[in-house]
Amino acid sequence: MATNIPIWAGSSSFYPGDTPFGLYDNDSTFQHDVDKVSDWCAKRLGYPITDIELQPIQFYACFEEAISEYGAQVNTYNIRDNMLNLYGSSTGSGNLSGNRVSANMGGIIELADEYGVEAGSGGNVTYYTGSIAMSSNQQLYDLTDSSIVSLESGTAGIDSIEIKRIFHEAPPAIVKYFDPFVGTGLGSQNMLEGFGWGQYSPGVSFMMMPMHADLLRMQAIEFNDQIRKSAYSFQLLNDRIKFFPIPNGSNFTKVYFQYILKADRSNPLKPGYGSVSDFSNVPYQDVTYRNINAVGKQWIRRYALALAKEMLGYVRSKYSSIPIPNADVTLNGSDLLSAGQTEKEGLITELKEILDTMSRQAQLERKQAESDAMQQQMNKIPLKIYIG
Amino acid sequence: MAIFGSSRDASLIRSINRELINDFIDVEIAFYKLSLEATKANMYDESDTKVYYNPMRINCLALKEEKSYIGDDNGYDSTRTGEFNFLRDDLKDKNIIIEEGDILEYDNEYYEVDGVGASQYWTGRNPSTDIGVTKGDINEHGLSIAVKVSAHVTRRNRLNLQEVRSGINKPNDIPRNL
Repeated sequence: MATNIPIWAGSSSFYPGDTPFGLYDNDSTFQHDVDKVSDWCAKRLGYPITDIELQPIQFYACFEEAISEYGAQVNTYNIRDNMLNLYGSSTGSGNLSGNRVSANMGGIIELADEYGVEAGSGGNVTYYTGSIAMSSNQQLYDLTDSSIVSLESGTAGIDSIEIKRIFHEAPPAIVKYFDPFVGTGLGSQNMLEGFGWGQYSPGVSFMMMPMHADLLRMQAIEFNDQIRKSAYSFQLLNDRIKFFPIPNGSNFTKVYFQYILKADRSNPLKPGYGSVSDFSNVPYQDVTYRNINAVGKQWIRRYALALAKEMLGYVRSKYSSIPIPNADVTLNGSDLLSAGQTEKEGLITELKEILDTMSRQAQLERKQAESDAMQQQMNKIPLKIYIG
Repeated sequence: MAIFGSSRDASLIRSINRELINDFIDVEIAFYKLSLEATKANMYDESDTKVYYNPMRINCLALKEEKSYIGDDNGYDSTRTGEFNFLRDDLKDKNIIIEEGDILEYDNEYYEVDGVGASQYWTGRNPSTDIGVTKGDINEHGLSIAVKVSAHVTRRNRLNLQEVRSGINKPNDIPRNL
């Protein structure tokens, strides 16, 4: 018994489940359109003058693919345009497709996190606290010596750390500002006494002085300490640190510092790594067919036709020649194939160009051009001359 | 087992052939099947009063040769041969078997069938006779495409298919064209 595979019979009747993926089968608009698109494609391919060696399910597959391709192109464009706004957002089960994505600084700030770490002004690497126990008359200390170095996280000598700040500094100049004995401080008491107001309590005495006088005085204090005194300072070279002045067991017994673990900084998976990281996990899902406008639907129909043409081309060109009684014929498979592929490429290019012109950048540029043009027009309007 | 030439592909070939032969080319011939039961034969199993069934219209690819003329002691005569290629599946569906002696009417001429052949196979297999297929070892593969009929033009007045000249035909005791 010969097998007869049915071909397009002139009409079709869609049932949910007839498409390969079933992405839009339950969309009532899709159900309404899919048979019409099949009929249109068949007629555009030559039916009923010629037979169309395709079945309704193949037209359905083309239509489904066309919608998915349209959605993929639009979603790709949206992902590209919004990527900076989407970094770090949830990859959850939501669907951004068809939703407006609000601009935010999250992505840019996340990019700047690394700078924040180095600048000590935030970022995504924890600053830990550690300390070094001082010994009398010992200036040089080994930071890998865990017996004297205490770390909040990690172990000295084992975990690689980078010291960010050492709290070993001279007292700030402001604490000596009112010290009448340092020579450079504001000897207000002496001065007040010179004016005969020495008996007044300093706490309730005020003198109007220019601000720069205060600044110059503080600078003088700092210079004085730096040049004339043995200042609190340190020298950090590789794993060793040298403190000034020489610890005597009472001036300072423990020096604190802030550090980061180098492994933390190098860790590519910073906290929140389960969220949107790249193109592949931005939660754009399939588009909703019924929400696509007429422009999009027409693109989809044309793409479905190109796919059907290509498919029919494959069918008709599987065998280079078809035997007929006492002869052979060659079908138009190769023509259909090349036409279908050309149309597909053309449609994709057309859609991409349209989408490119609607990027945020392009829209801002157009707005700017519009504004410039308007400004030029306004400039040409004659100004009234006021005659009083 | 053969990879190419499955019944699905054969269905495509058949479909294209049907479209081509029946819709595009659409050359029809009338096929008159010889009625052996109604034809009276002489002692040599010959008959000059053949009876044919009513004609059937069948699509085919027809090719008729140029006329050839013969002149001899009996006079001057002409003849013509023709080749008719039928889609085998069409004949099979209509349960038509063309045999030698049957008549094909084409282009206002009657061709008597001289020979019938059906050896044009797609992918070299006839699924009706392929051993693997008939034994059920493999699925259906290949396709027998055509029935090729060679015939020659015959005189219409001896076919009893139509009145050619009144008073010449011998009276028959059976109705024409059963």
